[in-house]
Amino acid sequence: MLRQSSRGRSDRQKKSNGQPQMTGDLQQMLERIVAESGHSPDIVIRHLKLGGPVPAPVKAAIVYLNALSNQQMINNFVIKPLIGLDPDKVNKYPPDRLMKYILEDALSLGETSVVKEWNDIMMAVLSGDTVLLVEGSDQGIVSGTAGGEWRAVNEPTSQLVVRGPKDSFVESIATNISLIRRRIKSPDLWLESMKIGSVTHTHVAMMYMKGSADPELVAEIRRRLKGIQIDGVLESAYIEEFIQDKTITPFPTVYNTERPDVAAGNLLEGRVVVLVDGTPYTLILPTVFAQFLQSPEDYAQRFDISILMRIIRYICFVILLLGPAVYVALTTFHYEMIPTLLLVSLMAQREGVPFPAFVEAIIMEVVFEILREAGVRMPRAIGQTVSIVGALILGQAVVEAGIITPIMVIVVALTGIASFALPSYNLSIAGRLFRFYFLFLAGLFGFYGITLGLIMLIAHMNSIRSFGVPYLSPFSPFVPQAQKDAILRLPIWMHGWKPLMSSSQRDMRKTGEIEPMGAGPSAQGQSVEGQEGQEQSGGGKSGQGKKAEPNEES
Amino acid sequence: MKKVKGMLLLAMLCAILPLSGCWDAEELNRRAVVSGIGIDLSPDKKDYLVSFQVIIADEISGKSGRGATPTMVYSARGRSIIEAIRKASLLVPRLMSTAHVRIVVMSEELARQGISDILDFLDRDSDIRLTARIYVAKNGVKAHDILAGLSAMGKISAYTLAQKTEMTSQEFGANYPVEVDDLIRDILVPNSGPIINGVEILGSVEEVRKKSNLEKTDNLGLVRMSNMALFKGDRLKGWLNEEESLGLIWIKGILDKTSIVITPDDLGELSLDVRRSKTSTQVVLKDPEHPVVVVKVTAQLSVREMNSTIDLRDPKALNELEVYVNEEILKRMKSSVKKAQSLNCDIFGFGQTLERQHPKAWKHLKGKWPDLFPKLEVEYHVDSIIRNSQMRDRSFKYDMKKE
Repeated sequence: MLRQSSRGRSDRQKKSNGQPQMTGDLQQMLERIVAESGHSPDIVIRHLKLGGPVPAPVKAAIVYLNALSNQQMINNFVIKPLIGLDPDKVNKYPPDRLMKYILEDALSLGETSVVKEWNDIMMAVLSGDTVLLVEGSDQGIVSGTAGGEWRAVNEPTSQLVVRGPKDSFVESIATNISLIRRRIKSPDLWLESMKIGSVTHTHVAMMYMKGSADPELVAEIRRRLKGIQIDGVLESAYIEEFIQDKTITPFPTVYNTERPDVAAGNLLEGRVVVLVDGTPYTLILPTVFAQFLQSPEDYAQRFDISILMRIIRYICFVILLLGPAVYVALTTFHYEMIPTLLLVSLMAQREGVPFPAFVEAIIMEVVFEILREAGVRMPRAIGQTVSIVGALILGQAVVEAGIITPIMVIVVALTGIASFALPSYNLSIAGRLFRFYFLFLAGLFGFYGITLGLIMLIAHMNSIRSFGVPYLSPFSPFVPQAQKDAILRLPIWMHGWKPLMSSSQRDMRKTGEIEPMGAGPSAQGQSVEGQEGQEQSGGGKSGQGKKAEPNEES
Repeated sequence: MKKVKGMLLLAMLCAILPLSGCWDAEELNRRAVVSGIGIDLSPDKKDYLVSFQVIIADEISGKSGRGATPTMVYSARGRSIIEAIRKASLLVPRLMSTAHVRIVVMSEELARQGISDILDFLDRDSDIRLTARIYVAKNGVKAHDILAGLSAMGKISAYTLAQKTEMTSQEFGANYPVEVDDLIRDILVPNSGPIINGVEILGSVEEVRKKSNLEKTDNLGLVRMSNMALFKGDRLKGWLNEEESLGLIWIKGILDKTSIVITPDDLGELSLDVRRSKTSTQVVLKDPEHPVVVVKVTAQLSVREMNSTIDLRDPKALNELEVYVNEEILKRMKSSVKKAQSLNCDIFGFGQTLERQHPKAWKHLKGKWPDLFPKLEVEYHVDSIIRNSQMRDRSFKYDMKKE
């Protein structure tokens, strides 16, 4: 699909390159708009005669897309003043002077501008703005009338809290920026905006706190964003894949949120927020592993309770990774480690069950993943049924039929619940992937295999960088002052709003430990130093070394 | 260069994997978990008869129980223990797994012949824990019979026996749990040896292994903890009686709780509980050739029962009672020492105390210790304090007397 549209793009570019300038001929210009948009019925052209019924009224037209524009604004603030223009002046002024007169004296809109490029005219129409063309002038006036229907600001759907703000980002980037601005009323909150996507021309904005955010980091992110070459951006994940550090890892290296309070909090801590038009999920970078186990709720509850909840989340992550693996290792390799009475109970359950524990675990894990996958995309009404059939009927029947031991059902269910206890969905997906890796190691080598696997995992996690920040920071490298808000959450008056992560990152840059990473495909020319950074961080995972090869060739 | 190093590291890590592997993987339903091992001598006294108490998990917690006994005992004969275990595969369809062995019982006959061969196996084997408890079957009962016994409380009788040991050592104090590593340590002490708990069957040896035995409220047969066996080296030399066992535990200073009955002259009978007791042993070398052992005991007691009209509010009366208590404790310890000296077996570890406190003198006395020990002078200092008298001070009998 994207390839087709890219062909269309090159056609258009050729055409517009052939005739970039605007002629003064109104009729021809209107025909061209209609032709280029393929006679779309939603393009509205309203012909006007400026200056009223005087001897020679000037012909003009406004063009807009009816679904994307705010009709009321066009009626009241574009058409109305145009009709009421002073006939004398209209007759007297030459076209260019007339345009200036309309712009300065007539249009009662905030956002207006004069454009000369044909491409800008088309872009303005497609963005929902209104274009005014006047006979005899090779300019157009663009009035900001973009509007149309957006989803209202609702409660977040994926990151819920018991206590805390209940608003969430929506698909409109303007609304999203306003949600953040409303929280941080500071001139230090800087916004940079760009259009990404050669077909979609998606509005992407980058926000950061001047002063808190590391200028080098901001420059690096800007460089990576500018380097993106893609046809369409439909979700912030498209951007995420382009700008994240190139390491092969299932772990997320860019945090995403649909909560304005989380975005604001991260801005205050010196991180950069990237907003993408058309999606409620904003990107936060750089990020570290600990952040995925934090919930905005942590700051809304008492600190001691928050510490408990955070520790429970870490335990959940361990259960998610190792639950079935430890069970398989214990029962097939290390029966001596099971308390005797539990062993007796396990043996009684295993009596008459046909599969070895490892196969049993694989079956149940796959069944669980199927249930989850089926449940996620079900319409809400059916989703209930799926979970009941899956959890209750299947679970119970499989035990009663003697195919699976009850303890295995308990282990898998516990693992499943632990995966839902993690506040971040993409971390729990990564954990679920590693669960299978550990399950295989446990089935082959017992605890010995699990231990080797853990060593590999930790080495791998140490090798990951998110925009130059070590993924396991502040644990490795150990940053003492950042421990106040890592596993622990000390009272807010003790850590305040210091930019913890980025200060640690700045310190490390000073010591030369971190080099900026190579960015997306376009940045290859500049990424010589980036490669060095990659090489330095390599060694934990074999895939990383492989990844560096194509870069070296280029 | 770094990439090469990384690949090399990866290759080395991969090479580690096949070094271990799944050789010891065994599904739980292919294992026979042994809860207790019993070792007897074969009738011709050449081979061992090794009995295994195997847990039948189905009968304990499964849904598919057939009403059989929760444990089964299989016996196999072999020149060594491990040979017998291998031969047990003739009888048992699953892998004999001994990591959960809680008790090892040997017959008195075997114990008198020497137990060092068995100990090497228990020490060397990677599965059997050094915390397994050791017992000697007393009164001609076979180790096999002890393992075959069924118990009403707790379905695995080997574990029940281990629990009995723990409970009685806490509550009565005439036994204490002896584990494999205690045994190995004690057997190495010169002129000494381990102490091992005895176990016997009360009532009918035949009945105790029947399920029908559990269908009556008073069992016809019951496995019972008995007094402790005294070893010299690896051979059983004799049995302590109850008083001697208590005295031994008191001198060793591992007493948890016990009860003492005293009969002060003309004053009736009093039962006291020892709540806390501390023992310290010192060797005094006034005469370098004749060390004197000083055993100091401080005990705290509480009055539990009295058939007497003594006024416990009176401190003097308490002091008098304490004297009687001291005597009773002294009597126990003395009888124990006497028994040990008669068998010339330093079960209290006085030799080790001497070595620790006077290393130089020990070098000199080491060779003479077997001659010295039977005549060793032991001084006792017992200091007991009656701390409380439970819910009452004077007995109601005190008021009866007044009226």
